[in-house]
Amino acid sequence: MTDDDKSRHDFKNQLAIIRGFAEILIAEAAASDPRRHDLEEIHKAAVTALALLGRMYPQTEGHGDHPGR
Amino acid sequence: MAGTVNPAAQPIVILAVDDEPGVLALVRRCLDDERVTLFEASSGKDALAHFSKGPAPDLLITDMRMPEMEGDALARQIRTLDPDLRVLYLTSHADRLFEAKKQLWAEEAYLDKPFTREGLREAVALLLFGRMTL
Repeated sequence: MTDDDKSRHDFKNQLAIIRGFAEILIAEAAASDPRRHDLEEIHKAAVTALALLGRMYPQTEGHGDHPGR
Repeated sequence: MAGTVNPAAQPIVILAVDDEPGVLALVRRCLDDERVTLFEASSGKDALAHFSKGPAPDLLITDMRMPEMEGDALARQIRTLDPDLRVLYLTSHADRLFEAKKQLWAEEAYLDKPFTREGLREAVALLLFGRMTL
């Protein structure tokens, strides 16, 4: 793994962590929770950043959120 | 698949391995369930040490790309001790997994990062029970 590969891998990991926790918190937040909109913005930004990363480095793109066999 | 784990057998023991603590924290949160006993390791070496001490996991969830020992090498080593171990690879790029490993075994699957809680739980349920829900 080159240094660039490792950096991309680590960066994608961090975005995945942000997206993952934001998604869980949104799912658990009541519809009336005033923080829900903020969480949705965090989630949206993480999703957008992951998409940008995928466009910049297509080789980092995954195959979706389904287990592969 | 060489037999599935009995859903009534408790607890479900899972060993999760990733060199990124945040990913382990996310896995822990996703699998927060009274039936699940989750052990965590930050490297292949830590995972092997855990495996030698027990309890034996029903499922190994491992990052594919880790320093010193990659996920497929870890799974291969543990499989010499427990051939029926189920393995879920977490990978940022499945093609790289298949560069290292031409074919997955029957008790293996992979899940792309980033994953959702539902995606991870579904993958675990499929590997352990052959069904979609944990």
